Amino acid sequence: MPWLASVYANHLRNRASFLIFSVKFMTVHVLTANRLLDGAPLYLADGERWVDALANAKVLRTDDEREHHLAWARAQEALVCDPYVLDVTETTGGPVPTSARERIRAGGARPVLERLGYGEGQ
Amino acid sequence: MYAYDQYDQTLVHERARQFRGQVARRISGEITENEFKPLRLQNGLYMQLHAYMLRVAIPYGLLSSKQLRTLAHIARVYDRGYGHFTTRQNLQYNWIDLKRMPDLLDELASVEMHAIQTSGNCVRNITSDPYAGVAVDEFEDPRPYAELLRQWSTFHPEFAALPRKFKIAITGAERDRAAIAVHDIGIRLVRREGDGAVGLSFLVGGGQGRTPTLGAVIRPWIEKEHLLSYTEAILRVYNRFGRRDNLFKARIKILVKSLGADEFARQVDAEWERIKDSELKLESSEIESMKAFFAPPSYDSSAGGSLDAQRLSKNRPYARWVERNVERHRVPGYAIASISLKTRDLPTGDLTADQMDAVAALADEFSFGELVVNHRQNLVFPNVRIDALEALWKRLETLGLGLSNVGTITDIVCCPGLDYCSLANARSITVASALQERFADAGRADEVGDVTLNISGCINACGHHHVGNIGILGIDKQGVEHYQLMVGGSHEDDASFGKILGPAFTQEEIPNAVDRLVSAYVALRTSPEERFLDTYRRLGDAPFKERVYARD
Repeated sequence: MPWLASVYANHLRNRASFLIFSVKFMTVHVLTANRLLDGAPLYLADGERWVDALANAKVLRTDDEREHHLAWARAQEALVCDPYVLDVTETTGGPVPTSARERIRAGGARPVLERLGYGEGQ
Repeated sequence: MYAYDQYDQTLVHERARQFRGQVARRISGEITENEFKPLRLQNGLYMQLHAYMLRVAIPYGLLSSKQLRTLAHIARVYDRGYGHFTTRQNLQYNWIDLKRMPDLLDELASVEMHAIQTSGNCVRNITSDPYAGVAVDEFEDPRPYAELLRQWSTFHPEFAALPRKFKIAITGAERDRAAIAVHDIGIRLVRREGDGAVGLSFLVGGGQGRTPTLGAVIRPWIEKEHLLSYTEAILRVYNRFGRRDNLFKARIKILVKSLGADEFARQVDAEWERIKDSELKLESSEIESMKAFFAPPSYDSSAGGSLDAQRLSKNRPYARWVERNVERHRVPGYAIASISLKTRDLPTGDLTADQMDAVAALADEFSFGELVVNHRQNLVFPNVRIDALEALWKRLETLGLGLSNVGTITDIVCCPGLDYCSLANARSITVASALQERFADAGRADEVGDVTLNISGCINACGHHHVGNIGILGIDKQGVEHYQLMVGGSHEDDASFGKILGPAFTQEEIPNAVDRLVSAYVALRTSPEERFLDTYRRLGDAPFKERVYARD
């Protein structure tokens, strides 16, 4: 029952997050980079444009798709640095990274500042 | 403290000017990211999880009040109103705008500061004893030698591309407050047996990270005039034979291990024989003129009072602060006061711009305008009159910085972790905050006594978890942050590395686990005088493991 194992593994993965009951069907990817001017995380969306929110990112399902978009992103040096693809799980709320690192990164600056007692900073 | 000459000043201004051009060329597309990245890293600018982070060098942790005011100004104008003091006695800003970096470097240069060699495979910031120059157990002030090393290593063309980063610490005291055993090179000013002459002892190959290793003494004593030539000989051997094929095996500790300390020392000696009489040999006049920069301030010979009397003050919160945060000074009537940056309001090591300004004003009023950042992420006022301590404490209290927890379980050392760092696997500040809450009761912290607690968000060990009496290491287990609990580390003269106690804990579980560990110590110690580390070393990990992993 590999699908059941997959569901269980996904449950474990997300038990610290709000997506306790999400179901993972396959490993898919999202393309990300950091904005050149301020380093903020950006995600590739449909229509080959960059967006701030991971929820609006385009899900990449094949090797060809990943390679094609990575090549495009690498040519976007005027806007971004160091593009790469990350593993995500598809959920009803959009793609969710499988690693804690990428979930926190996708959360953005505001939760960090609030969590650490700085509000939104100055 | 050292004052820049025209060469130093030209150097930092030139560097800022060069970086202005480099940033402009990167933004215009004239140079690629691959070309730009090493340039920005050479100026301490890292790409982190959410933004650029800038690491500013604070040589051997020593700051003037004027410099701290500029750091406050930068925090306010160029960042989000705060900065973070690190375990390498530096300062980091977390939200830097690339376009404004050149202006920021100009601001730093205006107060004899920079971010040069705070990143990359070069000699990093030289660290030292925060009590340098005022410690009662000091053979000789290490700061002149630290400054000579800083100047020698800055833009050293031969060592601009070492196999890996390189960290040097130096102390001149009997008690090691600079963690020299866990540095690539640890230097200690020591007395030679027999004639008592003060010279240098060299340890090599210490470090934390993936392969924690204690440095080995390769030269027990050498004349001070050979500080630079002997250090250069070590770097030459490392630069020639250190591994460049594997990032994880590139530090000098791996080379020293593979050759053996004796063979490594032999090769260093052979190299040193060739260069020991070169221009690297320090003239006594050079050492003396450097010492003049670190001459003691004008102490008031009429200053009086005793620390013992302060500890008996009827003002109990103040007396507790003296007990925990104040140490003896070599000059009668003066004391060394630590300001804890382990408050419950802000993350470990953080200070707001307003607090920086206020601390700078206090340094002017109470400590001859100087302060020191130590490797446990606290600030030290090295020269406070004993009869002014209570006034200082009252002022610190109004700033929220009067906490009396130095050396206790809430004096937690903690890296930025996964809230900021792109290398981290888990958050560390969150865990530090939870533990500070857990042990907020001062009575409980006092009952536990002296214990060091260090947290790192990944194996790179910026939070020095290996050498905490209690160490916590963040890991990612199937996408969920977990924490390994380690016990038995020490960064002092009895340096040792902690051992993992057992299976990792979740973020929710770790405060209870530490609580059980600490309760086990209190139950197992022979008396309140037996330190946590001594109880652990006496009993081993079995009784601690049993209690920490006991089912409720």
